[in-house]
Amino acid sequence: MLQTLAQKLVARAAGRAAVSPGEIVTCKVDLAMMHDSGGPRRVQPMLERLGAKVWDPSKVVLVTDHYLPEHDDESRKIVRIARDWARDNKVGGFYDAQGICHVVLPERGHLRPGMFAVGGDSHSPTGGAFAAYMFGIGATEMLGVLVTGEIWLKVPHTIALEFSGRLSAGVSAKDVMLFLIGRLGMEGGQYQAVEYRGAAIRALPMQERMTLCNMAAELGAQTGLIASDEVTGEFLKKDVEIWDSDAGASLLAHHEFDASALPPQVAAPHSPANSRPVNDFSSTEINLAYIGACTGAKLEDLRMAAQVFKGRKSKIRLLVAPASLRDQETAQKEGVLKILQDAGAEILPNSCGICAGYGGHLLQDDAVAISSTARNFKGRMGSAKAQVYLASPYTVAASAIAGRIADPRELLP
Amino acid sequence: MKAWVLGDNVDTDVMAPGAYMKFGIEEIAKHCLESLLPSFVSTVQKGDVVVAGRNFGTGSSREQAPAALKHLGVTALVAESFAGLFYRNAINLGLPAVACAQAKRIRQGDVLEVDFEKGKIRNVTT
Repeated sequence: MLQTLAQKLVARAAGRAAVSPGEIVTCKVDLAMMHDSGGPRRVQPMLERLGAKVWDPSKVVLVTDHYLPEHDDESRKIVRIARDWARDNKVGGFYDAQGICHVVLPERGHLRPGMFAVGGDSHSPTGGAFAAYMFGIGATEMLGVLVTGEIWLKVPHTIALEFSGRLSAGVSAKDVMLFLIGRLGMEGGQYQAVEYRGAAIRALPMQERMTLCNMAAELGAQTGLIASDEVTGEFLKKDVEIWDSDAGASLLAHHEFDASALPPQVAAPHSPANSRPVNDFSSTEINLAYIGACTGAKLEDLRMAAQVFKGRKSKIRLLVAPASLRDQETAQKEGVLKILQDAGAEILPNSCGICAGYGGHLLQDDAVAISSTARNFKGRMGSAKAQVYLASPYTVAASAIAGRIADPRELLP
Repeated sequence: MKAWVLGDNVDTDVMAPGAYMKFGIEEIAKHCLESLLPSFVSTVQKGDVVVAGRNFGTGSSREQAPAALKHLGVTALVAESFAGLFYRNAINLGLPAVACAQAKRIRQGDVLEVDFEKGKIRNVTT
């Protein structure tokens, strides 16, 4: 039987030779990731009530990223619970103030092709970039995984999103996703698996692939997947198994696009689905630029912004929250961070920050922001009166320089 | 069961706003849907039903979103379609969520009878 990548990954985890879309199967979980917000503070009281223990602590990774830096009693308490829990349960990985979970997890080598993983966060499909089946679940469902090591799942259909050609200079994975969400809608993924394919996807570095899979969440898919290849192996610094769909495996839909023709995209308030080409927004004035989050502040994202900012200044307030400490350190070594600081960037901690509506820099009523993050839901990043436009790091940088939404292609060498 | 009718793509963050996520469910629930329906929290009654359009619950994995509705006494969710993660969360918390292609025919304040076993929704008002 010909199978898609999603089917193969689910079949392996279910201990089956093959599975069919629509069947309900129980899968063994290879990795359960949690963060401080949805993790220990929520699951520990339930574990206590059940008198239950974690099935296999070596398969649990905990990352603190939401309530950092702790700036009030509540956040101090939440982070302390996470730290205590990691210590008491001897989890397989605990990363405290090292960056955002979706970025830290592969950075520290916890993902490899063929795995079946869950995360207590909606952007968990990010792991699919490594040809691992990974998806987000809530705290009660995480409790089930922690106690049993298993989770049920309806085997997904696969929607193939194929991009031929190459993305143009100044156009990134973020533009691909805003375009797809605008075209297919926030439920275009139908809670099935989307699989990114084609020459333009193969040409992308790992962190750009992660951006594609990360925003499978906003596309309404359960997960986003990309077959493993030599790029995956290089990133993970090890030989990896090749996991890919069988040619001819049955698909729910197959959308084909020419990546070369894609212009930068911007999504207007208050939905990522409100996306249109950047030049449709050229008269839109803004007063804040934000480069942050797992979606938009990884090393590759910081590099993109720096390409545009090199030798230029931001006309408006510019906030940059690198997605992980390690990415920030590499950006510093490369001179990328200096370019951003010279442009006027205030460097914020390596945490979810404004994107998740946490921390000390929430958007005020009068904010008209352009952001490299994933969601511009009304009120998510602060005041419900704030206006948030979503764009790529390139476009955020170009817009910061102009003080209005601007096309980055005009500023690149 | 009185219906509270919402639109399409109602996200988790308006049900459980980020600024209150550090608190327990009592406090989060006080702000449930406040930016969309300011009168909701003060007037919702035990036994009411929340009715929405497409992709109800899009966004975050935070199960405080369905938990806040349940805490306020909402006994069922009806929508044209649900975001998958929210749907799983609602059911895991014991808040029944029913997808119904004709959900848009339900008006604010209509009285509904939802039979979960038969999968039937009866609009008593119309």
